[in-house]
Amino acid sequence: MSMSDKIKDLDTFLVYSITLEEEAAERHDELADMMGVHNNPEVAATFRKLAHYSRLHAQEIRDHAKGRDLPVIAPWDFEWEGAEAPESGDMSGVNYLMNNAQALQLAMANEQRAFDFYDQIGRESQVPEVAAMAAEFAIEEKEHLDLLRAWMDKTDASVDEKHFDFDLVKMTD
Amino acid sequence: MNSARSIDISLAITGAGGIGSITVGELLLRLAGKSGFFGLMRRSFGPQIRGGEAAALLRISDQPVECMNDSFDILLALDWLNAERFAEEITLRPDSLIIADPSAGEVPSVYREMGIEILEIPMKSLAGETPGGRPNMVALGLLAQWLGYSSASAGKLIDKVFSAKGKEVASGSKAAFSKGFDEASIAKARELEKQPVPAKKERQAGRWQLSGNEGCGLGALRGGIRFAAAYPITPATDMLEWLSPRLKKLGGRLLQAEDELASINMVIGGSFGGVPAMTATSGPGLALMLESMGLAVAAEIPALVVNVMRGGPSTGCPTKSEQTDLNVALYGLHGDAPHLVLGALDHADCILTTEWAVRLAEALQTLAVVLSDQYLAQSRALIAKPTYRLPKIPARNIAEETEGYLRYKLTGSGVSPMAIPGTALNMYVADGLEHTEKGKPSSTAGDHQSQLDKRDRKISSFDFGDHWADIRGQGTTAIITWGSTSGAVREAAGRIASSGGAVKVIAIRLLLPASPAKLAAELHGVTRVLVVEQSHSRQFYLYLRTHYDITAETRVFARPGPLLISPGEIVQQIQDWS
Amino acid sequence: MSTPGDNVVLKFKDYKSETKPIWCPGCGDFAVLNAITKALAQLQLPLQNVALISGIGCSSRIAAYTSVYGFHGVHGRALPLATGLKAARDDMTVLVAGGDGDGLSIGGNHFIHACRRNMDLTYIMMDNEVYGMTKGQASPTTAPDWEKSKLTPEGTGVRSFKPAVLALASGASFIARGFSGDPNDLARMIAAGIEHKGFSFIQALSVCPTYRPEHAEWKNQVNKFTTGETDNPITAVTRMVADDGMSTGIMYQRDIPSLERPGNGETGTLADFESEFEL
Repeated sequence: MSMSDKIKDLDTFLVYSITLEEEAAERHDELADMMGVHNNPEVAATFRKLAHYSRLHAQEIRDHAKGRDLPVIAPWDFEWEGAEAPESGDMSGVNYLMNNAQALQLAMANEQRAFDFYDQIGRESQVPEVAAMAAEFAIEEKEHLDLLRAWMDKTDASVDEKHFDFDLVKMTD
Repeated sequence: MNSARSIDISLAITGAGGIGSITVGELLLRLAGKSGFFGLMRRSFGPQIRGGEAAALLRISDQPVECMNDSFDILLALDWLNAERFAEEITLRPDSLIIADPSAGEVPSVYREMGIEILEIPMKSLAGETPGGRPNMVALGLLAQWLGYSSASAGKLIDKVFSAKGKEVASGSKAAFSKGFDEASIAKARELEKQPVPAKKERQAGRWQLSGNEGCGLGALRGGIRFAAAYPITPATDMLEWLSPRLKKLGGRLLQAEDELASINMVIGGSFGGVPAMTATSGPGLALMLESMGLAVAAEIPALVVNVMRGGPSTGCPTKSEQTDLNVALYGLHGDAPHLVLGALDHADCILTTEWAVRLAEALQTLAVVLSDQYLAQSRALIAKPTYRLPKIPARNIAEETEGYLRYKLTGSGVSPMAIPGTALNMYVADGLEHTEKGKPSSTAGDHQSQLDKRDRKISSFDFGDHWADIRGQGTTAIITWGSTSGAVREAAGRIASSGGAVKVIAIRLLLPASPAKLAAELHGVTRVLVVEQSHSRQFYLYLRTHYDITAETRVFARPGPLLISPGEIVQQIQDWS
Repeated sequence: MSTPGDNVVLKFKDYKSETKPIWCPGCGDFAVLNAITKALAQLQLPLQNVALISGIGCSSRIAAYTSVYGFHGVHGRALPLATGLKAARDDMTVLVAGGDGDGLSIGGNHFIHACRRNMDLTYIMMDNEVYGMTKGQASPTTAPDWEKSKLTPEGTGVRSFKPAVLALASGASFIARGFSGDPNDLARMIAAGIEHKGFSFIQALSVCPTYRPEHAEWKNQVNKFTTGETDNPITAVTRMVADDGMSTGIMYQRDIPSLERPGNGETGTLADFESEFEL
């Protein structure tokens, strides 16, 4: 079953979207904190910015939802395609030595999944108002993707390349 | 500065996130060694497992050093991320030098306010000029130039250390090193320095580089330990990791136990079987082991426990040094349980003290606790090759097949021949219960008294010889200390001597049994005693009050960790006492 | 911070403290923290009514990262601390957290007894198959041939525990296994464990990127229990013993009533007791 089949009304769609954005914000803030604590300030700043965008988008969606009586869905009752919300999954590339290019790649993968989520619903939902809103959100995600791509182009992947941890060199002497 | 040394330089290298400050320190220490110097390096870290703040703190001298100096001459900061963490450990003077990368941001106000000279060198951009170049290698070059090391020997070392990481890393590292080594502003800054530092060309033969934990490990092996059982605990784990493969190579083994209660019992079991055995731990683990340490005493089974002290109480400050497990080592066993407690005084002394402890434990069939601390254990020192001579100590008195064998026979010395499982006729049951000479449980007044007397007598009547303390100098003022503070105390005494004073240093190595008569003899003519220790509740001072008669006027300089007590502070204590 | 009484809904973020975790980036414990806080948020438990008790190790740092009551105790003794709290304050919701070394090595004895006691506690064991804080030694859940520890360079040569089987044999009444790569499902199990009356044991497989980089493979190996939960111990143990240790889900849940007998209602005063000494 595709997401457009699982989400049958606007209220449900709103809850899914808000959760997607809020969990993305939370995840990006978590990543920013991690990187700050591990003395990788450039990457921390990158994730902090991404958290900010997600938070803005979440607020926009909450504004759309004002006055509506949204259903409460337990975290484990969401039927995401993966284990987690599309923009928060996959921590496998995360490493204290990661550079900005790698951080952006991770963010882009997340944004792509978020885009795919909205895009699929926008194109295939049988509920017109859901389709319309999803299509709107898909455009917004696409803008984020473009922003990230531009950012990526400006980032020199070889600079700040941390190679390996220079405090862990074994003294063979 | 101690004018007996012509070269004495203290450097701090800080950085975070895996930038490599520690590697710079380790390479500098090795280069110092190859250039004929003595030295000391300790490390300080943030709480992160990886990528945290890291500081390499070194002292390099043409004379042996046994402690860090009062302050640092140079602070090289690869970055200033979370640098406040180290501010209280890295004491700078107004005439110190800071080398910093301008791209790393502003020098912290705590240093700017002191008006310290800041030498700005763009280490990051210099590193960027060569592929595979890293700022920390530039830093290494800068400092190697400052210290007057040869770039050829540095190049060889870099090749050796980085070869595993690939050609580009090795050559990039050397190129970056050269950028630092050839940096003109260093040469200029050195000209302005009051003490230029030429390097020794000849290599002094027979020097060693080791950590205190390695020293204890080696001492244990020299003493005959062939079985170890232990549980990981900061800061003892790397002693066990050093021992594990080496025990195996000697035909012994190390078992990782499920906890400290298991460790000490495994040790006792192995020793009961005839194999000299040990464990190593820290305060929380030592506290757990106490019941069974008493078992070793009561059953008269030789056992070695090396306890590497860290900040207490409870979980405390696991990565910091302190001298506050003295009480538990001395008095923690329930009942009347005489045993041995020794404290290593410096890096080389870790070897001597541990070897001595093993031999004593074996000879006296009792428990020996060796106290070391995090500072000694985890810092590396360049030292003269240790040469010491322990008095002749009998090996474990192993019983031959004896009709009517009495395991706990009342002898004049208090030591009774110990049967090793496998020997015919001598089967006995070792027991924590009080027992008869034969080893059968007993709670009679006679047996308890005579066995208590035996276990006490075997230790109190033993001649421990001159190693009970390390005594240097003469004077009407004496400083009594123990453990690693000995280094700072000796240096303080040296400074006082250079300026015409005279201070006697008594560093006690054998804490239990106490040697009151010997100390009284050493204090003959001494009118003032300063006690120096790294504790809050003056554990060592109270130990002295309990076991010795000190009639001289006494003052105590006691401070808890994490900051090490520096020689300058001790000199100040003596000067303030005029 | 707000409580439900104020008509404000607690979000999972409200159950986290301001303290930034020192766990390595990529550590599975972040996901476990999220799972625990999501479970608490789903149940809307007031912050002051929850206590999280931990031992010593990387995982045990979790207590400081939550905003409920907490106790960062000594190594291996979180369960007795929690038992004492629950015995004295049955009204509190008591959670216990710690690592595989803390819980199964030095804490092993307390683990089996806590299972046997079956008090209403929820114990989340963050299993990363290594001692992280002391820099990379084998733990009781590490495979016998793992050769990366300097303490046991040829591997321990000792078989690892099956924590679920141990829990069942010792008397736990709720046994589940989750994975840091699926924090929502883990949150479900934790919430169910909290609601379960009795000792709930949740083994959370947690990735350690620093000392066990091979854990990156876990996301391809973890699979959900297809046979569903059971309250039959024989069925449960048969599955658990045959299990490869990588299947997730609630494996066993049974309502086991407390054996504590209610008192006969007698009361007394100090004066009554003192009078017992009178001649």
